Amino acid sequence: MKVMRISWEMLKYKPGLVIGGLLSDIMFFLQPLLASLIVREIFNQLQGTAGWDISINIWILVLLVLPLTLSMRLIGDFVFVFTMWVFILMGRILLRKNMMDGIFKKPGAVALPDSSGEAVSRFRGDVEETMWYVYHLTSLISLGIFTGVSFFIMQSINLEITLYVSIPLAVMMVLIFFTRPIFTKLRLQRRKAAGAVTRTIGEIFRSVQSIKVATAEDNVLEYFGEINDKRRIAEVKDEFFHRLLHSIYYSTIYLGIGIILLLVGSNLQNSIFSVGDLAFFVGILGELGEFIWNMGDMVPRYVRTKVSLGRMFKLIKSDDEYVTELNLAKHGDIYVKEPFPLIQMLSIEDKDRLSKFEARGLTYTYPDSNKGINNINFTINKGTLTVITGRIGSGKTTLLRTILGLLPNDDGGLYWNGELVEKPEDFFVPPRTAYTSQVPRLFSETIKDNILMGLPEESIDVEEALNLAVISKEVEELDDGLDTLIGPKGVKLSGGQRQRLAAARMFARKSEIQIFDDLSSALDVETEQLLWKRVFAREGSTCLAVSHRPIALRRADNIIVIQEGKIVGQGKLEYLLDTCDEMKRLWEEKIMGGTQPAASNQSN
Amino acid sequence: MKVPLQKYWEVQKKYLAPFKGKLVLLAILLISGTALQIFTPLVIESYIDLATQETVNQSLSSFLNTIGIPVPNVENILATLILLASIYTVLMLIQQAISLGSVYVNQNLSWSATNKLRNDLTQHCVDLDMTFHNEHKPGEMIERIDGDVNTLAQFLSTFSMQLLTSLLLIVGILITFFTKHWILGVAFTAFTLLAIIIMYILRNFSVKAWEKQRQTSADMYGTIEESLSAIEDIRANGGVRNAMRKFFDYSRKDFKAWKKALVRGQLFVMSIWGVIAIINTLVFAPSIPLLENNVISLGTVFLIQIYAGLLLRPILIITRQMQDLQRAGASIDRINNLFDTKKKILDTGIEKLPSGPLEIEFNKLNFAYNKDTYVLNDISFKLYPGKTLGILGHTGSGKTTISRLLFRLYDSKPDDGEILINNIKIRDIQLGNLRDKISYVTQSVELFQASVRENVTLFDARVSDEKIISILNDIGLDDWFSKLPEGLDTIISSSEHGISAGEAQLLALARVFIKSPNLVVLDEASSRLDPVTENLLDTAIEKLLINRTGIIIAHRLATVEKVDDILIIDKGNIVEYGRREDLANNLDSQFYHLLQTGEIEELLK
Repeated sequence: MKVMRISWEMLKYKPGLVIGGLLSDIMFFLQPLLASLIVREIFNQLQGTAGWDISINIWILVLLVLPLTLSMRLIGDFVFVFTMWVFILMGRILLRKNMMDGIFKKPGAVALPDSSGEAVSRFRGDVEETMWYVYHLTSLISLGIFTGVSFFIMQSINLEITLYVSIPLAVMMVLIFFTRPIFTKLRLQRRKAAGAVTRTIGEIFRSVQSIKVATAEDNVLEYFGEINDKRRIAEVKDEFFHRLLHSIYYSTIYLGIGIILLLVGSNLQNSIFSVGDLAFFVGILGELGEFIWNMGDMVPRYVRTKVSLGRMFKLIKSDDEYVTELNLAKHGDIYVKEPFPLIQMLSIEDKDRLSKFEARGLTYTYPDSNKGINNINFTINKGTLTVITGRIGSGKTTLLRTILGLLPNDDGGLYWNGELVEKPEDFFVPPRTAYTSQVPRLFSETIKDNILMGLPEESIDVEEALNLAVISKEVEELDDGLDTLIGPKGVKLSGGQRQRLAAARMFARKSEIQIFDDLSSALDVETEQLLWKRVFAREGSTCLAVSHRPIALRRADNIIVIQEGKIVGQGKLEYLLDTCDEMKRLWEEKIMGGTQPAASNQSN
Repeated sequence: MKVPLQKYWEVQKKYLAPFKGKLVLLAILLISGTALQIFTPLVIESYIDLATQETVNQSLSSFLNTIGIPVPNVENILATLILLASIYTVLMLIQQAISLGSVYVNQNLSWSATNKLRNDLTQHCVDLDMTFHNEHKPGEMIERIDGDVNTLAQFLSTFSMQLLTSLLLIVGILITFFTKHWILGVAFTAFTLLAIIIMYILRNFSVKAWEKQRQTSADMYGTIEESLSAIEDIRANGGVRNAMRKFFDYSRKDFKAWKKALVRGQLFVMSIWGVIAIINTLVFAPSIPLLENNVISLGTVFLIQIYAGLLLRPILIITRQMQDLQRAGASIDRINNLFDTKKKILDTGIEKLPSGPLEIEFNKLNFAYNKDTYVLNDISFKLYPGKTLGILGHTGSGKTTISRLLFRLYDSKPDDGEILINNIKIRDIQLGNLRDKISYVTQSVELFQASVRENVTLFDARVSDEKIISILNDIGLDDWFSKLPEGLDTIISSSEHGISAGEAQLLALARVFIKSPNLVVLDEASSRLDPVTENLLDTAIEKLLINRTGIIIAHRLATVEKVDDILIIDKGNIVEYGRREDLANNLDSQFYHLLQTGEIEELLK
């Protein structure tokens, strides 16, 4: 993981803000140094030992100069908010933006390595960790300046003591270096444990209805308690180890002061080392303790950031070799001032109008199983209905996903009007194809916004889409009609309504091919029939659907029967009933499942 | 609105009470650490006085006597200096060890306490009505349960302790000042009071801004979560740009809220630096004339300087705590808000249902999710024990609502008719008892990223493996199960990868078979299944229905083939209700019409 390269890219994103922040930091850090020097001068004057050559009245020092140095810190701090903090906030948005971009570029069905709730924890904790690291990199410069100047003054006061004081500091640096692997391990455990907690909260509230009806509240909460406890252990371990190093570090500082005290002894009397010098050393060592600790902290910070960047990168990592770690820090507008530009209307070039769509040798196997689809060949002509059927787990949805680029095909290709489609994931979108998944996801917006999904309102015939999806009446009956808010993921609608709204979203995109995965599964017979009839009535519409429904199978121009990921039959229903055993089985089960009259009538 | 301290105190009292032992240990560690902080500089004072004066005055010799060091004469001053330097170093190291110990105890304490809070909050929210859950995204719940509690985490156990030790430190230092000279005592006491008053006045300066920032963050993460869980729909329907637009919109709002909160917070910090300016002047101003008149020694001036630095720390800590308290106050408010959200569905019933099939009766029931939009009108039917009712209707006709009411996921208004189970009003039955007696198979499938076992049993450890496996076999998941690498311990990803939607639904269905219910409600259970699997399942369900009352909510005629009664519902009104046989043979009935025009007709076209 290229932590430094990514950090450098981030710093280059808003150099002006970074430099402004750096200057404010330097002012902030130099203040205690200046204050310590003045305190030294005051003590020197009090003790009556030699002070600075320009003798400033002690009262001026006390009442004017010393308080003035504080204003440095004030100004530094205030400028910091408007420079470095703004940079940190903007950097966080940039990282998140690049993560979103990266995720959306991956095959949609395998985009997340874990649940969406867990992914959110990477958008939060890991992004924050990274930006803190980037900031602390800049603070290395201001700390470096502070440390350098401090050591310069210290050695000019007394070289020997300065050298002795440096020994424990050096030992500490070495210690930190060797504890790196422990940091990595503990941090990883901590992040994982935290991710498990957020993920579980998400899962609990997604399944809250199931939990309630199963009266499993207590069991689920017990499970949640266990996950929480694992996290406590991981957090305490990580934090304690961190503090242990911290403590050892401070101990070295105090050891340093102890060494000074042992060494100066009677020198305080004969003015070789004055009380003012002692005050300066003690004051500066205390500050150095704070500041150099931060520098020493860079190692564990680096380790944590490496872990965080690794987790973030995992979200956007894909087979595309052009996607590197650096994509995380790719510069681009983050729209904090003006809103994101409006989305253009959909338009299609004539060469993209469908005449024929083919899949040749399409193959995809899930990485951790032998399931998938194998050598799929078929052709869709304009204006036809193609139905994919097969039993549960046979690979129907996998096939649709592979066509749409939601899964990366291992082999074979997709041909649009005879031309190979290079990037299915970018090509198979409206207005070429539109899709309704088996469990469609909606958004906590109004019905209209769910259908538009950002498209300009005037370019979409919302009413027609609702009508096609057989949902317009129900929408009309809602209190706010099209402006009704449907709750998170559309929970305020029934399952069937959600599915039809998703279908309306698809129809609204007026695409060359409508692709739907068992659209009718949550619909009653009459509604479903109506929907099919309206789809068929639409002039020249081309459809690819997964279905078991007789109405679809009978009307289909081509049925693709899938069994264990392979096509075992293809053609019109009558043909398949004669030639394909699997089709026959599926069909008979259908009839057996129907009522008696159906069976008797079927023989007619 | 209550003072944040008071709110904080209540939360703390409740969540720290179970950890008394640890609290006492923490208090001992922190107090002894504070005592050392006050004592150690006195060693340096003596050191400097001894080194610069080379004589032993009254106060010095009494100090040395107190700590048990023999008062030196002129010859062995150096030895005493070395001894003092060593004592100083050792004491500082002990201080570090103590602070390390307190970190460990404190971390454990704060995580134990906040974990308890997380658990309680989750329990409370899970317990809330569905109307609540319909309005809050899981992503938002993550932010409110984990995010808000995290803000409290570091704060909960430390706040009182740090406040206490900070006050101890302040008082200890001020007393030492008084023993040195009353002018010093008065000056620093006045300053400390002034500082604390300023802090108190300003403490709420940025609380609103931080509250807003937390909300905008929650909204932003909620939107991200929603988009991430809908990647497929977004990708395949060209919604990426729109998802990005939403992301930027919410990020922009969050950015602005952050900036505002930071600026206000910074103004607060600036007032602290003003205080520090005063203290720095104070150190030297009174000590210059006192030193010149030989009232105090140079070592004492040095001591005052160290103490002044020390005095800053507790004041800064209190300030930071006040700021944290603002943030935590916002979080506590939001947490309390959640706790104050009361469910309307109350578990006040005391009746228990007997075992054996149940009798269900709806009596002139009306129901509206929102105030006046009724989705059920005047629903009456009676289902006798052991019988099965099939409910038919369009989607959105109110079928699902009926089953939700049976579970009391929602309650109808008291004067809007009633639901009776075994002639007991549904509200008079213990809620847990009611839900235990009914099994519900829904359309929604949500799995946990947990083992197959835990997904089936919903974390009930009492269910035996044999039972789970036999259920999986019964519902036709045996093939799928045999391919699992680690059997029941195989972890299922909740994002449905590696498991098809149909398989997921079957797995969710397995949950129903764990219980031994007296009433089974099936709600479009087979929606994602192919005909073969569906048949398998039908057999299993048939088994489940034996000797039980059943309600089957269906959109396909095949599903209601074996039911006893039929209820057809449209737009919340009963269109037809009667025995299945009667309706099927009545040429005028809707059901007969459906049988003719439904799926069957389509088959024969």
